[in-house]
Amino acid sequence: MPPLIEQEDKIKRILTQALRYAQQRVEYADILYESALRIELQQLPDHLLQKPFNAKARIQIRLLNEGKKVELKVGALDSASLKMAVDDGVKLLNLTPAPPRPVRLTPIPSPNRIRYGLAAPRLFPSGKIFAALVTGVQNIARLIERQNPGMEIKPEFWFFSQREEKVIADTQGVFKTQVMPRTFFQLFTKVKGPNGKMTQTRARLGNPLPYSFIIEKSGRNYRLTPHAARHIRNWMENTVALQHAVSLSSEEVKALTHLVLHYTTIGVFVHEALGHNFEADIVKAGGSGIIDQEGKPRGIVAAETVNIIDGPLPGRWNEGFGTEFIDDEGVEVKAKMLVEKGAVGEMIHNRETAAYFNTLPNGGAFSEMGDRRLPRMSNTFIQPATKKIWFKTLKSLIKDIPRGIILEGTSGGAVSKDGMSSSVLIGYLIEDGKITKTVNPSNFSAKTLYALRYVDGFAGPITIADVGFCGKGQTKFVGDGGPVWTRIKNNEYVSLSVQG
Amino acid sequence: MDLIKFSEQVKKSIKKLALHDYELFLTVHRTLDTRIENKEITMELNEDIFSGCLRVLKGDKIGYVPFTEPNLSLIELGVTTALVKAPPASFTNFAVISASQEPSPAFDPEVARLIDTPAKIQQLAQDLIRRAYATNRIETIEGTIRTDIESRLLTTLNSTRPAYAERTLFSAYAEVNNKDFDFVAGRKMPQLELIPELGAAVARSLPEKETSPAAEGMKGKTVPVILHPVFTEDMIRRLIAEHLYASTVQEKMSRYSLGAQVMSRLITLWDDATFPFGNTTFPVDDEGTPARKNLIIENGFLKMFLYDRTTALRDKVESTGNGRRRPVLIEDEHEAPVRCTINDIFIAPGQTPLADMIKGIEQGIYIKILLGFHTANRTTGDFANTLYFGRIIRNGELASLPEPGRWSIKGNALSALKTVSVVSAETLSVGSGVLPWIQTELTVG
Repeated sequence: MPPLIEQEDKIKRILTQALRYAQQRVEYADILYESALRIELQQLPDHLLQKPFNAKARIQIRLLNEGKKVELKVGALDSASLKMAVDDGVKLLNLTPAPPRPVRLTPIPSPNRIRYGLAAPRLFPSGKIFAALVTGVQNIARLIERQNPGMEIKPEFWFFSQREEKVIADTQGVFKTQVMPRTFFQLFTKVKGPNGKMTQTRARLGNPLPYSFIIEKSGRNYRLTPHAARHIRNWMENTVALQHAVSLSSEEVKALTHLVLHYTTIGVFVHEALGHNFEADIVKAGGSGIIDQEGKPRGIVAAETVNIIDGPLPGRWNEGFGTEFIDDEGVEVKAKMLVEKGAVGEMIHNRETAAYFNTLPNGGAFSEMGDRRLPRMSNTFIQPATKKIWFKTLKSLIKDIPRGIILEGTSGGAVSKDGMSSSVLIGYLIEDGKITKTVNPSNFSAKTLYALRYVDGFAGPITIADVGFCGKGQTKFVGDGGPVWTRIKNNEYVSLSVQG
Repeated sequence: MDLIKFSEQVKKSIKKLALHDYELFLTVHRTLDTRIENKEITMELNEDIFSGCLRVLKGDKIGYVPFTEPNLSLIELGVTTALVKAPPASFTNFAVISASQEPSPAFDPEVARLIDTPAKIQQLAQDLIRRAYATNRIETIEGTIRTDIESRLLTTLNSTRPAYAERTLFSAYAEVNNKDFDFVAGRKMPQLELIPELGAAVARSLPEKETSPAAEGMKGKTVPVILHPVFTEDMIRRLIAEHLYASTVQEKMSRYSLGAQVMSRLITLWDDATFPFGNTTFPVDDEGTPARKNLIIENGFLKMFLYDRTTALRDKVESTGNGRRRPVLIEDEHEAPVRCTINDIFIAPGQTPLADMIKGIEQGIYIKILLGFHTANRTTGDFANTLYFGRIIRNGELASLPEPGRWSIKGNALSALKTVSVVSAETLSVGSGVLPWIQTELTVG
């Protein structure tokens, strides 16, 4: 049984009153109420910031009349504020010119199902959690310093764990709620070497899980989970390894035969290069390099061995930083096959774009705390369309590569209409099937429509454990990934520029 | 919402908690966004978006309570929770805000009136679309016209009166064919007749041809580049400022040392939170230190580091008014920690007209935006990013557009400012500073 939101009766009463008021003035209205109760700890360079109590809430109202739309963000959940917003919205609607095509919304599927979500704590033992985090991270840093004399390790981190609640209600009687836990940890490691050289990495963990995903109870105390401790240690060690990393010239990059991308790197690639181009509002505006404004594919986007999916992993609702059961319009979130065997599949829709393109909504509408609801990705990942080139281990994937590079980690990416760019935290040179050197951070860029046509191998199980905050005017939690490793033949449509 | 009245209610409400000191930060925004998507206009109104943060001191502990509802009992609960096992404070009291501090202007009644006359904004948007399409060069156009009124307050327990100001904001932006954009941004009303021209001017300026590094013979070469003020401001804020902050110096991670030449002699750089209608203009910074202007780099030499109260206490100096709430990722301003943060950025103009700078380059690049520049290495200043908005300069002309995804530009921000060879006579207000165009060298990856 999905959990109940706090004060459901009160919220329902206020929203219902506002919707009744709106119904007398416009053809359709809906309201989204979002709130989060969060504990948060930030280890900054010069101080520790604890926020054991951070409450946030915002409301979004949408009014539709005569094919026109207006959106309103409201700060306070009270009847007077909502009514005032409706009145102001109606005034704006009257001023708004009719769009070239009337705005329509598809109906909300399963209108009678009310509750969704996962159990999420209301109370947090924040003092104990914070102490365990500080001690755990510092202990690992000091251990690695002892193992690497002369290296100064300066970890900064950011942790939060929250209970999220949302309500979607409309003038047609829909009332849906969702409760979700979500926990995040980011480690930013800076290392200063004996000769003053500075290196940095960023690593993240995040899932729709309570804080016990990062910090677990151990007797009367708390400690880092083994998974979190391993991740922290691994990335601190990587930052130390970068002290001895080499650069590659553009000629050396050109001579590489293959790029082997860790799921953290290919995940950002598919998110930026592919995912955004499938968001139906971007398609409608003419900003997609993959699908034209009429919704027709501009061409093949990947090798036949490649599928790209956005959504939760089947039945695994507690994985993927972007996982939700319903979107911010109350539509159940579906797994969307964006690319099937290299060909363009479905787009990511909100109710408005679904109506525009005459299709069904697929649960892709999200907003940041009361902002307007846009088609957004949830967890975007690459999936092998065949098992023929899917290996079990990295060793078997790279054994026939004469000269290649492994790319791992990211500090983010960005997309334009036809191209994408993402940063890579660390590289490893492959020579004659073996890893030989650590390579400096780099930038991986690609011409969107062509780069994935050269995928020729995968290794390891699929994971969506990479964690992101997608910006599109609003910030959204997202996950991404794929098989642990994806191999791409070096080609003229990808470009790698190594720092240094 | 009346923030001064609310701050008095908070003061009364938390009196019983016997706090040693507190600092209350409050904002409320009313924003009207008019969005342009090709020929479609949509309006979005943000009504009374309230947020606040209370920092409290009790004994030697500091607590931090962000909130978005003006709900006194919720705030009390937050304070109680925040003080349980709170960390030690780095100072013993918050600033006492000076009653004599005269605010620089940041409120333009014309902008405030505009937000209440949305029909006028609609008309601007419609004119912008009409003129852009009249060029017959539009494939897609996206834009926004934003007007905002903010009330902002900062007070502390021992301040006689709060620092309070109302600030306006007007910005307009148009991006054409996903190839280039133009904008106006500031707290003062611009010449409104400029707005309808934004899209059309960009459309007319777009070269027809795209080119690649291989076609230009630039792959792997270090070439002269002209940096647009938008890019320079972003580079300084993201990568250079990190080395100017006292927090980085105290951590021994800054590449800069006081008195050293850290930039080209052509660069004189300051920050200013008192500049009339500046983005950061307010009587005090976010922890009550009076706003000021700081001369940071003079003719290439580093004159000072930037301090907030915490770092200033550590070095036994005065704060330079650079304690700002600097949000990252999902943080809103009120939730963000106060840290050393550069205010509005200014660089003194040079002597050379921009047109002459371009004419003087045989083969080079004009850089406005690098894709994903937010991912650059802030520890070292290294970056390697794809050219997004810019031009390829050939024989002294802005000859072609960069082919998407093909131009990787790499360099180091600290080095790039050391090798500046020309500074333009013209400057541009980018919303959070006023800067010239500068010429330096970067490598095509």
